[in-house]
Amino acid sequence: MPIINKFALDNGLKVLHVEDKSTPLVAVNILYNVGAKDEKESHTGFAHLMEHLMFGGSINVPNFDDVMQNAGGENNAWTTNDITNFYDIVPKENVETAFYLEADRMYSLCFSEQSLKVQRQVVCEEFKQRNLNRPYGDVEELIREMAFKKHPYKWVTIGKELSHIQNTTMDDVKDWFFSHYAPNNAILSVVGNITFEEIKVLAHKWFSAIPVRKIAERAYLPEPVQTEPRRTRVERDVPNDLICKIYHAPNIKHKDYYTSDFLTDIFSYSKSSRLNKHLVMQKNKFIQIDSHIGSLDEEGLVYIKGIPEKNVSIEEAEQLILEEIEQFKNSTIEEKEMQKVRNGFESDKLYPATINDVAYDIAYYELLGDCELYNQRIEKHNSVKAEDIITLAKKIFVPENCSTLQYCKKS
Amino acid sequence: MNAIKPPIIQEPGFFQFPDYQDYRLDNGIVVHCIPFNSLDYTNVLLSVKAGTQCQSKLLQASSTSRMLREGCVGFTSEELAEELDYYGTSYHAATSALSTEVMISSVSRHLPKMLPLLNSIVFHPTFPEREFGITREIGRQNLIHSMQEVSFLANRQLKTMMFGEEHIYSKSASPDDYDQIVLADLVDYHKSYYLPENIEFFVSGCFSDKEFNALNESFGKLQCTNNAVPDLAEPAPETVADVRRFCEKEGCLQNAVSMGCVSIAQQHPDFLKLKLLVSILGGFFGSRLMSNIREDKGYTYGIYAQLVAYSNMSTIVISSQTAVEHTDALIAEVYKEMERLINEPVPEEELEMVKSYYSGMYLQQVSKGIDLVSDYRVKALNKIDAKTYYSQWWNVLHSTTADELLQIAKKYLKPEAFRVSVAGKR
Repeated sequence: MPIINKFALDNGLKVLHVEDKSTPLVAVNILYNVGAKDEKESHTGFAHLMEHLMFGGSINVPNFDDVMQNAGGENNAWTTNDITNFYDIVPKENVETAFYLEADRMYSLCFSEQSLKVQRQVVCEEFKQRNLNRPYGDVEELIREMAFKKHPYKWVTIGKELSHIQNTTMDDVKDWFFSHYAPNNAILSVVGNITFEEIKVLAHKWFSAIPVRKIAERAYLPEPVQTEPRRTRVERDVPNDLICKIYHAPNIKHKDYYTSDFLTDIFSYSKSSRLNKHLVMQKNKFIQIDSHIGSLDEEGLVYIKGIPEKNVSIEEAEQLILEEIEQFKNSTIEEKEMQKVRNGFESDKLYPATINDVAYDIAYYELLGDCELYNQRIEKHNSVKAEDIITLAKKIFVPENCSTLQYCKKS
Repeated sequence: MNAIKPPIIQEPGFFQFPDYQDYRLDNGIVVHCIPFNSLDYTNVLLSVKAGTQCQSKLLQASSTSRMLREGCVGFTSEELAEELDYYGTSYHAATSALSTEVMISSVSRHLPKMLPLLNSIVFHPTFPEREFGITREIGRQNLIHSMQEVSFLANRQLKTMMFGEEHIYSKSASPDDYDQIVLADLVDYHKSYYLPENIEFFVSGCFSDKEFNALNESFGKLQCTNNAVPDLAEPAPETVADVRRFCEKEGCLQNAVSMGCVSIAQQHPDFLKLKLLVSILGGFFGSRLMSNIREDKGYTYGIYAQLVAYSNMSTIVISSQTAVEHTDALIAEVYKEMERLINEPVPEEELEMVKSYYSGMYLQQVSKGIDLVSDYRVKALNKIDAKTYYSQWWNVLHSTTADELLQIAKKYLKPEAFRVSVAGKR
């Protein structure tokens, strides 16, 4: 398990570090505590557009990528409903260049009109490529609209519609930047062939002059408890029907979170897991079926998604899933099955992770409260008890906690 | 932050591709190994010369490899899945033109239990009828799903245009072909090609005496004959005459564009310089195509050019997706960028940037550790020594001049040789 070093600058920037001497590289990751949940419903997709604009030039650096590439570095970024994350992988000789670039764009962008114009268009093409022009590309969007009535999780990161992105003005950009991009709203993590002492020096040198900023307060309320079943049925031009059943579940900060994670692992961790074994291989009623937990920080979800065989109606498919759930609620999980899931989880986590994955993961756990959770996750997952899983299943798998999506092939 | 001085960029030091070693099992089967003995994880990749090039009908080779895990002597499909999962072992099988790879990844302490199972999976599959029916239908549905994607359609059509309709690299199955394949085809294919003399191993991660002995115990006693499949010559490509083809896909918002031509083999002395040239054209975010077509014009989310190596040839392929109305403009810009590379030397500043970027990428590639095993295998199958290949690439990155690149562009970047495949809306 890696030793995670940690300190903070006076302006609130948290800095994490793990040393790995086996690599010639260093990963520099900055996680900003801002995501699509901070958007207004009338202006969605903005957090993600902002991520693109972070590459459009900063106060002293007209072109981020040119400098990064000259330093032999590779970089990328992504946005979720909760966070906006940027990472750089650089040769160990050029770590300071990554610090310089990240500090400069945290200090201020140059707010180029040309960049805004082009990136609005690029993001619209991304929207089409990933969602609109792809079979099943709107499934997650439909699920969110159903599962959330108040919380901004009701829209997906890419946004609700193209026009929201097209209508963005430079004033929107500046407002967002100065009320979210700030040392006191970010976590810097560095993993690779560099010492903690060196990191401290570099962090002070490049980031300590960036002022504390007033962060926009989160105005939304938690999602009210769902009290009755919700259903949506759509028809689309797709080759097969798709059935989704979504249940509210403990979120990642809740003590039962790992129990819900374990539960979905029992359902569908791998080929021998229950749903695949029963519904695909034994009964031959589904082409594929999968269960997993959602990845939203504040609200947990358990997903069950399956594509039925072509001679199985979507109603029958739903019934089969419900039967599977009922059977599970009334069963006991044998120790061998528990151990199988533990072994699989341990095996996954022991597989050597890349430096940028480690850098992101420790920053993410720090955002949740403590980077040490990174080192505790195998133990937490593997100490879940069989009877607690059944208890949780009985609690969450009830009709009034469920949103059902029937995504049908056009007849 | 006023008047700050940017850090001086340093040239990164060389990092060697890790040492590797070849071993032989008692019966002569070769084991290529990249050891990382400090890890407690091992990847074992069994490579068998059973690719699509040997098949007598479409889907025969891939259906055979797909069915391996659906049952073997001593284990039903369900029992096999339970056994692999219980030990947290991940399993994957894939078939390409030249070969099939079956890989297991396991915590090293479980490896001695997993290797006899691997033997049984590869050499004693039972091909049960019921599971065959299920996996065949899943395969067909997955293909139907892929055919909804314009990028899939454009790439598939481009292969036909570059290699010709009947070439092993372009022939692909339609959903109806799944009706033609029967269990007997798999049994025949397995009997002819899944032979001990046709296999070799690629291993990465922890590989001490203990792991070697376990491998030898499971595979070193197999009888090898001299009937190994000879290396088949790659058929010559027969590029079609028409320059542009269109594949209609109703109701789409974006078109997929794939452009490509056949080029020199990776054994050719100019290959790595051509790779550098194609990288400048469209290999990374700062490439000519991305800078012009995404970052300047905003026509696309991404556009990339790649030099793809086959046994005795390669292809230069450019692919992108764009709004229907920008399709022709995007294609015109790609030709313009090719012409620029043919007619003007790459400015020094740009060349330095590209070389620096790829030096960094080189470090990422060779420091992947345990994940190097697949890359190492692909090189080995084409008789290329990975260590030599990478050190030559490092040298090319450090020595190639703008003038040399101009000559390479004039010689190998032939706009008239490119075929253009578009899928989507006219």
